[in-house]
Amino acid sequence: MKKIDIHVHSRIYLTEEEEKSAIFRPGTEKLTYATPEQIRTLYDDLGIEKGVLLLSEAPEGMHYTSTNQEAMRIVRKYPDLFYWFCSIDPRCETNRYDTDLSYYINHFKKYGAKGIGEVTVKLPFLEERMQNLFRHAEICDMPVLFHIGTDNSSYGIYDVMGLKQLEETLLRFPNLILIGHSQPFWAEIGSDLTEKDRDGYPTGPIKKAGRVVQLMRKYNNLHADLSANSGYNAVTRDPDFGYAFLEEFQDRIYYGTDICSTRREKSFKLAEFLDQGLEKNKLSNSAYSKICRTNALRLLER
Amino acid sequence: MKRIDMHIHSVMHYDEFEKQSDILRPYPNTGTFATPEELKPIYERLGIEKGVLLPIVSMEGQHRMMSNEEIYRIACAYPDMFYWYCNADPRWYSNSEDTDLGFFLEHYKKLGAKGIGEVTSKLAFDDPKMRNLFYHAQKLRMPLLFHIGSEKEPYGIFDMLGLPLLEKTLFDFPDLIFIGHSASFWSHISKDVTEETRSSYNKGPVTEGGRIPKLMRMYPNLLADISANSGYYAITRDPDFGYAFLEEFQDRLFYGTDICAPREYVFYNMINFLDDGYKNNRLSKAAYEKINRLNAEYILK
Repeated sequence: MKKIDIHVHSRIYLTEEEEKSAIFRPGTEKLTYATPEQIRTLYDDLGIEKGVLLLSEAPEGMHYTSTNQEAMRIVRKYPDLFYWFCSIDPRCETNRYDTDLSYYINHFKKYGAKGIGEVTVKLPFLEERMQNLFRHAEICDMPVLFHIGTDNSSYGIYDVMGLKQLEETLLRFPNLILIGHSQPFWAEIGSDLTEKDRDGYPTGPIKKAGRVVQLMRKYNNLHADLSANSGYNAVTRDPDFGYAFLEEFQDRIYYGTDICSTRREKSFKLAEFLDQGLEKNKLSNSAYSKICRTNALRLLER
Repeated sequence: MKRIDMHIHSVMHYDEFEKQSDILRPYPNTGTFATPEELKPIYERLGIEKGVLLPIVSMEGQHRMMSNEEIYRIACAYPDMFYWYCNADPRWYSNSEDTDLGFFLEHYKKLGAKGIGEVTSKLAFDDPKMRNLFYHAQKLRMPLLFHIGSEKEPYGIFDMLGLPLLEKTLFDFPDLIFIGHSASFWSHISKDVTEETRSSYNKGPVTEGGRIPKLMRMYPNLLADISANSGYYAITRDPDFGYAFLEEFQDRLFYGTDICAPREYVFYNMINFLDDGYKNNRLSKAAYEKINRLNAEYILK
């Protein structure tokens, strides 16, 4: 079964000169977002059929300004490779709590956007402009994929340890699908978390289920993407716990990569972890299929 | 003499689908940014030879972004029509006061960017991240064109009434060329500006003692573009004052448009104000030529 990747980033060059003059992340070995062709190669290795192209126009933490227009250009050129989510920054236009963000969301929805994200804006969940974004996303029936940030993170929707603001948001917008992602989200899979570990990748057995588990039990509108080292680490640090978690929330979890460059990431081993789970009967056939593909298709082929 | 436009925005579409699918502002008749082809007849009419393309990389107050890459692409496609500035948001990358923004600025400088702007990020002039941008701009000797915003405005570098934070910035970065712009900048041409009027296009006689003339007298690193309705009203609201202002600061003012859509604007009349001033001996030949073209040519070398 070919996988669907809920979380990928890309950029496109229209000429060779553009590719030669590309901006990279500072201090890296010429790393920037992978091109669709480079992603295709990685996808072939990972058994992925299509990915959801995500972007954020928020400046926080960025090295390159992705735009909705560029995303549409990519998806139009590679319809067999990508679905897409649009970027909506709650500070656009009037930069107020009552901006009609539905205008923007519906525009991009009309052009095929299946959701909103990755939302990386560094504002708290309960900040009034951010709440305005959630309100309009719910009205427009568009899922929101988000990155949580801490005080120390360069980007991501801010929440305190324990994700109290996320909980309030889940409560206020019961019909909005919120797809969680990032270290401060996945670090909360276990309850033994400290403030300094929130931005990292806590390791070792999970003695007691954390807030992510509690919130997923309590709120059906909380979904999660397994992408990046954060997602990979969370479900593999304690394999028995991880497989049980995947089994329990099999209807609301998505396979993903968060490919941000051509580099082969440790988290690519997630595909192996899922495959092994199925082979060793630690993961049911139904959970495996849903997580790897059918949950995403349900969201994307509506 | 053909003019240089110090302040222009543009977008480029590759086919009809891209044009149709581009997002428009949600207000009647405001559309989106003009394409180079749409700008051509306007430039012809206004007697403009070339413009300085300014990207927008901070989403505050915008309906769409214009990345450095998109603007560079336009500049490469229309080398006879445009120079370009790059842009940087101080919250990029590590989103801290010590991000190496020079890495980005230098990259785009090597690709021909002549300055930085229009800086529209809604952070205060004295925010450590904003000061970090000024620090790197000064180090790379790249002029910085900025939009000032009040607390109530959706975008623009924040300053209080009277522009005390801008003054401190001018003092602290004496080798950085600052090019002022926006309603909240130009409203300070008159002393009687208030919190209520600072974001408006104020009309009527100018009260002597405004902060802009004062700051321009005190700080040679403060320059200004007279684009948009903000620049137009500031200079024309009191013609005698306006011509005297242009004459006094003739070495540091730039003609500009800030065309943000292919439509009519009041500020298109700026050319008549300048031309009439020259014809009627209210503006010297030197001032006329510098403001329309030579100052820009000098800074864009």
